[in-house]
Amino acid sequence: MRARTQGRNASMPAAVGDMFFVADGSGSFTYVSPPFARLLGYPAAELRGRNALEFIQAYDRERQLRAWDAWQREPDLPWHAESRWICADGERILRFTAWHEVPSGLIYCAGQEVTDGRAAQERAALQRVAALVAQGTPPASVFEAVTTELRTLLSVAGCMLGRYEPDGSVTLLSDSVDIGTGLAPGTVLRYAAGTAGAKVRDSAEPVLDDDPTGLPSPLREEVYRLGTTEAIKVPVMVDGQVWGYLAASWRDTAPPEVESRLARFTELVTMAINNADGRARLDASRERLAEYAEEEAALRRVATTVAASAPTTEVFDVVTAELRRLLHIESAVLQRFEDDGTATVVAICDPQDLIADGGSARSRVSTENGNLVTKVRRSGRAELLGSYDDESSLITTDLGGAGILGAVGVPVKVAGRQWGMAAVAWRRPVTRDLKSRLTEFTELLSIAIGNADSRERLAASRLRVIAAADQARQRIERDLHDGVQQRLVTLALDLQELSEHEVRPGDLQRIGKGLRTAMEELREIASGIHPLVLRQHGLERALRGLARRAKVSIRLDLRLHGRLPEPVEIAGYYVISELVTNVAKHAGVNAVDLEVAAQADELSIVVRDDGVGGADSVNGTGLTGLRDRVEALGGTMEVDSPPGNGTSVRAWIPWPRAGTEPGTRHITVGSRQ
Amino acid sequence: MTVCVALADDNVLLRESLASLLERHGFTVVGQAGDAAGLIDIIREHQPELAIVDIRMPPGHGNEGLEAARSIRAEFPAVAILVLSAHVEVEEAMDLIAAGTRIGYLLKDRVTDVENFLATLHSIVKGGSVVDPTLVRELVGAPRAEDPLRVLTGREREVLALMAEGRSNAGIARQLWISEGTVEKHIRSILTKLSLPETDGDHRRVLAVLTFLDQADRPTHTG
Repeated sequence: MRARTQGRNASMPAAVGDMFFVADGSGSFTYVSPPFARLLGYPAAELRGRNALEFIQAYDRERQLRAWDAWQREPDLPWHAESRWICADGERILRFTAWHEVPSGLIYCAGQEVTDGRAAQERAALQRVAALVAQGTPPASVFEAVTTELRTLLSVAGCMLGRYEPDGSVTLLSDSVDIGTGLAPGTVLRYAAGTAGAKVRDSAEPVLDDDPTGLPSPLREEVYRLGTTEAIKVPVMVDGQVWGYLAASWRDTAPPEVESRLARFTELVTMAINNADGRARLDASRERLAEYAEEEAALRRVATTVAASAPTTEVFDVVTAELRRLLHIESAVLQRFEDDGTATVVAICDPQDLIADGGSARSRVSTENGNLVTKVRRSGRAELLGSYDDESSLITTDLGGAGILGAVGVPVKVAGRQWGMAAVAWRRPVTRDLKSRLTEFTELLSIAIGNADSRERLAASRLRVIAAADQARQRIERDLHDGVQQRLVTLALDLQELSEHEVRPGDLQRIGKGLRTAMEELREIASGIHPLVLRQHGLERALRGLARRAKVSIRLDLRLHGRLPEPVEIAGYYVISELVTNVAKHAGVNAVDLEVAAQADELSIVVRDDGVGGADSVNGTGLTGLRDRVEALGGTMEVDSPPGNGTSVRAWIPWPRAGTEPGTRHITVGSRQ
Repeated sequence: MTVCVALADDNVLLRESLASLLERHGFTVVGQAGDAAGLIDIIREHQPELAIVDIRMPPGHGNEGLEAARSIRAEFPAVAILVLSAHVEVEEAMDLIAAGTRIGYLLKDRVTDVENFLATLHSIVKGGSVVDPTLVRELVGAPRAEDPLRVLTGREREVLALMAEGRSNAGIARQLWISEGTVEKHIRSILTKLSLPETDGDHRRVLAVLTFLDQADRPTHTG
């Protein structure tokens, strides 16, 4: 933890995520965060001292080393790298941002896993093209879609599709480039014998082309214009013959796996040609095409339901129905994770009542160790129970009844946060790619789920904000009437009585004391509505005051350095003071850690205790109101409160960058020592 | 000998009542103002021994009174200052006390406890410093994981609180119904236990105690 906080500097994002490591100048780990160690598959202690490069795929290492050298020339800038890591359970793609820490020479790296994200992107691109093919779109448009999708997907400078003519020349069918418009369709290229363009046809193998001087005109001029240094050409096969090639070109470094990813698209080109020629036939790629098109249609149905502002329950029902239909399995279920570690079944599609015992919609799912939802939540990736095809492994899942061969659950991530789990169960054997298909499809669905969910939560939160304001007004009214006003009435009666009788010693003192008590009560009420110190002196002083008056001891770690925009200070104070009150009331401990830091454009708050845990937004404790408050300012709030294991609440409240919003205050006051 | 006072508060009713109270108890009110600028004009003209200033005044209704106190301190160091506020904050008290002697910082309600209020005025005119008991209660009572005050006995805590409020030894003795000698014994014990320096004068004692209590809330960062 120490390394983690020390390495922070102004350019580091507020939430560095869980994947984090520190390395020395030679690339040897000096610190590895537990989640990153888990991903690599070794104990963190064992990793210390080993070199990060050991874990990078050999074919990726050279590229990383070159980029590393380039980074050394500009050490002040962060380095964004995407690389393939060798983990205990296979290869994973990680996107890291690295910073130099100048005095120590250490390198801080924070990142995230993007393995699934990229597969899903590729799947989506393939689906879009497949839909065009299935609809019988004219080949020219399909070809254009192929090159454009590919260029974006691979982040390369150019993509090109060419057809071999009987005379050995190549007719360019589509060219997509990142600068300008590229060569016009119909352009004829004449490759000299022995150059890459000719080799592809002769060998029917992919060929790497790193010699622009051998290119035919006008392609050569185009390559000089774009500044590309290398290209790869992959053959497109029709009826067992080389029909043409699909090519990608880049500057300096090849994108990972460019060859195999190009090859996946060539199948679609083949399909489009076959379709256009009326030579469509049932073969493996035909099946693939149908699969893509089916997925695309399923996604469109979900998206349409979301767009029609259907209630979330309906959207979730459509999601499970589509999952079930698409994957050809018996039952599908969608569960949402709750803050207290349980999950809620939000939709279930189970026409044969296979998993009816597993709970009807809106029921809570327990979280014993080892059940599917707990495993998925803990690992953050797809988990399998039972098996795909072995009948001896009949299981009773928490999804329900007997007779189930297996079940797979995959996490649903919304806006980078674990939202819930989509799971399917089967009674008949299924194919082994079910897990990856469910993973990919869920990834695409998560956007729709997120949209539907956030829309419903927004509407609910608006109502709650109004109700909360009404309640607050009622409380103030009650405090004034039941407290101060009653006291003043009593004192007025006492005075009335005094005017009718002889004044006894002590009478006036008693009335004076009563008045002072009334004043104290008024002050308390006013300070509860809005602490004056917050407006006058800002969040830091207000929090120090809060710490002195709180019922629990607050260990403060404040890094605020001056004033923040007023709405952020008010919301931050309100949220923190409520959370501290919660700890005092519910956690059963007498100390709480509070970390508050002003980042470049957001306030980050962590309130952590080691109490009883089990705090839950659904069952009250005011967490929902706090989340509303944070989200109303565009922020996010995360609650982690497993029973028996303490509660930690993190909130981030952003503000517009200085100068973009008139009326926000950026006052700097001298920091006190 | 009468004490000359200048008053500043934008609430005319309250200001007049306060003036009348002071006049009745032997003070001479040389002038009243509704804002900081007016107060400084009066002080420049009459050089009173004491200025009583409300913290929240026009134009901003923020902490103009604090600013006024700073200006007065800089321009007329001999003038004792009492800052009154609808609510009190530790940091503001620290700022004021650190600015020098002859400073008081009280809740506005305290004016209704006439006897104590007048004693406070005389104390700061004579060179003492006074902090509202609410603040001291807050500082002494703050929940702390590692409470540095746990080494003190209950009686010593009481004495410490009264020291922080700016009471003299005699004042503490009166309040707790003990002899001055006993008070001195307690104070020596407190200073030793908390490793505070021996100080001469009530003001430096207030500052030392407040600083100690305030620092107890600020864990040192390692990062």
